[in-house]
Amino acid sequence: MHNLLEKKNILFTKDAFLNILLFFVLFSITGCSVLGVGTNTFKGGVTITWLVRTDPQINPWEIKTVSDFEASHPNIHVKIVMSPSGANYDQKLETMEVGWEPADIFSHWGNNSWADAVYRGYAADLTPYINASHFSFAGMDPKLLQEYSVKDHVYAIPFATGGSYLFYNVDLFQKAHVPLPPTSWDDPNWTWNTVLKDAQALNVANQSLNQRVYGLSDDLWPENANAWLFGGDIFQPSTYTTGVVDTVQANSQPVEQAEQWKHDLIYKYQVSPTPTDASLLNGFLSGKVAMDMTGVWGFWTYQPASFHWAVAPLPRIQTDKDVLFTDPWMMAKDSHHPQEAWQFLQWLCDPSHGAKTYMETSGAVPPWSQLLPEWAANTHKTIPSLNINQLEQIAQGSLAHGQESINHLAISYGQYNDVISNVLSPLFSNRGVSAPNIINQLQQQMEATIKQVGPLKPLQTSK
Amino acid sequence: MAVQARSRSKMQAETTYTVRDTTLWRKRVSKTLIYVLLIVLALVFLAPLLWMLSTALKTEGDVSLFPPIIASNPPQWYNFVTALIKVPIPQYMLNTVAYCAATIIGDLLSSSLIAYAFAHVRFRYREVVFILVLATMMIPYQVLIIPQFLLFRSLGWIDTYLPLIVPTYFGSPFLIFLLRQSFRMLPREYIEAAKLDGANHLTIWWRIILPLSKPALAAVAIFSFMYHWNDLIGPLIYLNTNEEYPISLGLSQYTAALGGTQWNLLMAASLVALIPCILVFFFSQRYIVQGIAVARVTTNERENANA
Repeated sequence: MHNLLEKKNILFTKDAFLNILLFFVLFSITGCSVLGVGTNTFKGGVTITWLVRTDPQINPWEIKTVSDFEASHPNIHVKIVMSPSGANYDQKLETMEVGWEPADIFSHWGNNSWADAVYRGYAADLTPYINASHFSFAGMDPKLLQEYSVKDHVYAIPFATGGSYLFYNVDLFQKAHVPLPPTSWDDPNWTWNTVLKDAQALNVANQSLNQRVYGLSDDLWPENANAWLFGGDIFQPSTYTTGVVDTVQANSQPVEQAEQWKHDLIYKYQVSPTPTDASLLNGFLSGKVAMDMTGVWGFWTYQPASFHWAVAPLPRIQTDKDVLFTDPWMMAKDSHHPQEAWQFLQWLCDPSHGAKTYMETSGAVPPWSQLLPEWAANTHKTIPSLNINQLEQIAQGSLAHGQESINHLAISYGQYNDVISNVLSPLFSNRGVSAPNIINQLQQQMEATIKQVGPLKPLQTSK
Repeated sequence: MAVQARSRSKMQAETTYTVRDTTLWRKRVSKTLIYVLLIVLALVFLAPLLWMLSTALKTEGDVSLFPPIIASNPPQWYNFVTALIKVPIPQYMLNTVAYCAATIIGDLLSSSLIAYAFAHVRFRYREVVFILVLATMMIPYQVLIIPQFLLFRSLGWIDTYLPLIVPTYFGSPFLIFLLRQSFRMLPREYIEAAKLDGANHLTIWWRIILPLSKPALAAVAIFSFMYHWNDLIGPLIYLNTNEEYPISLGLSQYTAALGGTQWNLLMAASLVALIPCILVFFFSQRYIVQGIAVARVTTNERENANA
């Protein structure tokens, strides 16, 4: 053993030397850049952070926007921090806030809402900055700004908006000789009966999935969007102004009708795909779905489609109220450089800078009326079957008929959304399940979630 | 008689040949069946990779077509170039390799040293301390995020890899448990003999325990590599500079909410990012199997202890 140890002593020295050498080589070659040593730092000015979500289509716009802004504001450097959207975005935002390293500019791109950001004290009151800089809101629908105000104090400024629409496959309509839908939200003939009739005419049933065509897919989100069309809601009207979910009406008649209607589209009329078929098909882009009711994101996510498509208003059932998805920028309440952050926020929301270039890149509807003609002209290139006036008519109608989405305005909406999708899932995946039983369960579980979230102080918005 | 004997021996020989033929035939059939089964299983396991390759060779529009096509015509090989340029994947891979190397060294050195102490050093309350170490595995990471962030912020380590690397030099409970069980299986006589020869604990750990535990150490290195290569939350929390991101965060830049994910580019980038993992697997598959055996033995031991 002694000899062994002696023998190994030489090896130990050699091994140890090699290991230590390897360790330091690794650290010196790659470690410096990895550990953040020697990275470029901005000198002679102020650095602010802009927390954005990952998006291969939008991220180049963010880089270009920072470059343009820095060119005209040489003393301000904007650092882009990218995070995946959803829960990861919330985690990043909250850690930065709680760790006294807040992201100076951010949006509600996690599961949490604008109301969460205000309630938790992350978002700054922008009114003093607006008043001091005389930022003009001429051309913006006051309704959009009010959604993000508390007691007449603005806590976020919209830069993009859009409602919910019925997107349709023009090729399938022409093949089935079905007249194309209208573009006016006030067309009295564009009702649920018309849509169902069209869906049945476009539907190719009793075929393998390869040959199958579905007349209509209802992908409206959040789930209460369907209840809106039936004149009801899962949430109380007060929630949209206070941010607090204190009671729900998930088992009300309009909610029941809306959920039964969605179930019937799948199993009674057989014009909508089952959840299993929908996941196999990858939705509207598969070319197997003739009409798809969904949010404004259809304008940019359907751009790669290999067929012609267009857009129409939602049909009228009891109402034709659609969900608005207005995206705003917020400034951190605890920003270390609020003046510089405000300058950047102005640039981002300005209809001649950030709001304009974002619209051009994303295809989202602008909140500024002066940008709408340009939006329609750009969108016409993607949807040539509709002229510029028709596209403007659709966008304006959606804003006029729309109400801001609950997922932007309710505190802890993410928790309620999970409950809604979990409880309603069996209704859409099983033929034998009916709406009345399910919505009673939904009511119970929503009430349990209200207790779980706990008492909250209302925001008392100015609306 | 002679004729009879000849015909009998001929019959015997024929019977022997028939038996041999039958045995050979059976062997061939069973071998063929095994190979067919293995090929089918290999295809099943390869299917996700083939699907990734197929998606990587499509245009964005063709990705959603139904019925699905194998590849666009012509196949979009240029997607691989675009995927590497649009998001700096090579930089992210380099960052991740360095990050993994530093953390593997940390995990191996610290966890093996601590595991040695728990396995072969007798001290008061050893078992209690060991249970406390194991109990830390039950604390959800989410609970630790904010306190750890505040700690590392006070040290000025935010936006560097230090909060991700330095803790690995203080031991990982799971790896400590794994190595401790492996070290306990080593014959105690070696350690006693080394002690008689005047070796101290550090010498025993470095010159006796580590050389005799190569499979377990390799398993630990692989576990550590896999964990840090895939880690998303840690880098997400501590890093703010895009150029410093590891591959897990880098790949997420091809994803987008509301159906905006560019699947063809994501799959192309993911296939490239898989190369180091495949290389690690090829060069260490023997150790991976041994590592599984180590993990199984430790689990069995624990079950027996519980029984």
